[in-house]
Amino acid sequence: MAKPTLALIPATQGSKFYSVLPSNGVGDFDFTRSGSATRINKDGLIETVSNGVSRLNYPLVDGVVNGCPSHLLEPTKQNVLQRSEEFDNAYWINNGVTINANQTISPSGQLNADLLTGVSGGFGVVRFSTWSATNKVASCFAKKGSTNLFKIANVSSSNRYVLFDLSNGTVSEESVGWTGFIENYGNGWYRCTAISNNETGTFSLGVTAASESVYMWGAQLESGYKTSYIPTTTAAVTRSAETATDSADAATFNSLEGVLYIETSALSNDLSERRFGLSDGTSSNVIRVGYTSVSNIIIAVVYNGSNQAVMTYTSSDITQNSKIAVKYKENDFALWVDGVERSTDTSGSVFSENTLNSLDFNIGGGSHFYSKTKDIRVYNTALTDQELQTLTTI
Amino acid sequence: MNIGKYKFDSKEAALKKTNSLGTATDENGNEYPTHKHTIVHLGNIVLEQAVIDEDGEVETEAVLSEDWHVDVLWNGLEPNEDGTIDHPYGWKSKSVNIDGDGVHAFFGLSYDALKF
Repeated sequence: MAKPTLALIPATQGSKFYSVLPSNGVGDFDFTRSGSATRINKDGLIETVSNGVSRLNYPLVDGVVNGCPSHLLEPTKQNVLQRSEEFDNAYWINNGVTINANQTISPSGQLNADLLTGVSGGFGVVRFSTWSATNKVASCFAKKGSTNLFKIANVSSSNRYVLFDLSNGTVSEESVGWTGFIENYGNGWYRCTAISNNETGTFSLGVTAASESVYMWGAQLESGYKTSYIPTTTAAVTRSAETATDSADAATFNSLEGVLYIETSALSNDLSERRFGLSDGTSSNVIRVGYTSVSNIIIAVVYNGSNQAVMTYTSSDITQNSKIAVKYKENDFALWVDGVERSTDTSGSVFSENTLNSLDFNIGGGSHFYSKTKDIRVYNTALTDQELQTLTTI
Repeated sequence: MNIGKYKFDSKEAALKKTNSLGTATDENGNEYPTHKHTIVHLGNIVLEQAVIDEDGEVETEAVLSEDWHVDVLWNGLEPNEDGTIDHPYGWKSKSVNIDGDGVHAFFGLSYDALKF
């Protein structure tokens, strides 16, 4: 197979997404984020990354780091809850529980997880008027104590909730219109997520009966979809949006033919436009891949003033890792996903020589490609079907 | 990088001011900012927490501010001729100066260290 002219495999954190090829650094992406963020490190622990430093985020499988890291690129989000690791603080209103602070090692690796034990009544810690139609995605890390059941709820007049089983890592019950997710973070810890049905009301974390206990750490309530953990103390906290832009130059790319390849997963199937690709630095000449306002669609577009090729594939789940390649050449366009040619277009032109000069995680202004990305390559020849199959096979 | 805290008479006044920093519309009609600042609309913030009795009933409702509050994390503001950096034009009159973060912070950044 031909050698790519640009290759990026996430291996280093810093002020850039560092490319392997070209070796002179021209292929590096400029990375920006004002302020800090958290990631899962190589030991599977949640740690804070400093102001302006990119994140290598390691995948967890059954609670253990398994596989290579990805570059995590997220939008701005706010954790509207305060005291996210201090459930004994007066910020949290005690609704029939006992809180023992700092009882076990949390997913951060520190001794700062609290033990909640039900006594009577509501069996939880609560915040009034906290759920809203905007802030409806709640998450909290929980570990089995004397019980395996952990509950995230809206305990206002019509009690609604998601109940999680911390023994087998499953969602046990979901109220009508509510959705629950559970992720294994290892050492008995699970990140439990409940998405409400656009309701207002009293936010609650807890157990279901007296004498039942669970360990808790890292509560978060945010808009849209669940993102990386944002710790809070005395105030709600906003993590700023991240960008990765302006990799390489016209000498790196062939505007007449080639292949754009990315191994990536979406953060959510939230129906927003997310675009990654090659361009001339404007929206006038573009080869892009991304996600659209249609559920689980992967799209590839070649545009040079008008659409030359628009190819789509309906994925089973865009939040799962996919290997995506777009082949471009006059009258020869193809979209490959996970080892299979999913769509082709045999009519269309490309660009003048030296038109394409930039590779970006944002094509078209507001369509940031928020994602977990594990591999990026650009080839300056249109690869064969056999080569594309090999390249994109999981 | 600087952090400013501001209050406006209304949500509409705040949106008009934040939108004036620059927006564009993509081909699908979605509006997006063309600047690099992070803007957080806090809205009518809680000045006094609600008082709750032992049964969880609200004895006294929370007191909310009449003003609409906005926090801005400014990126890349141009320095003045004397090298100082100030609020962008038209923002200073809406600014508030507090000690500590107040009800909202930007992750890993200190308001006291980055305020104007």
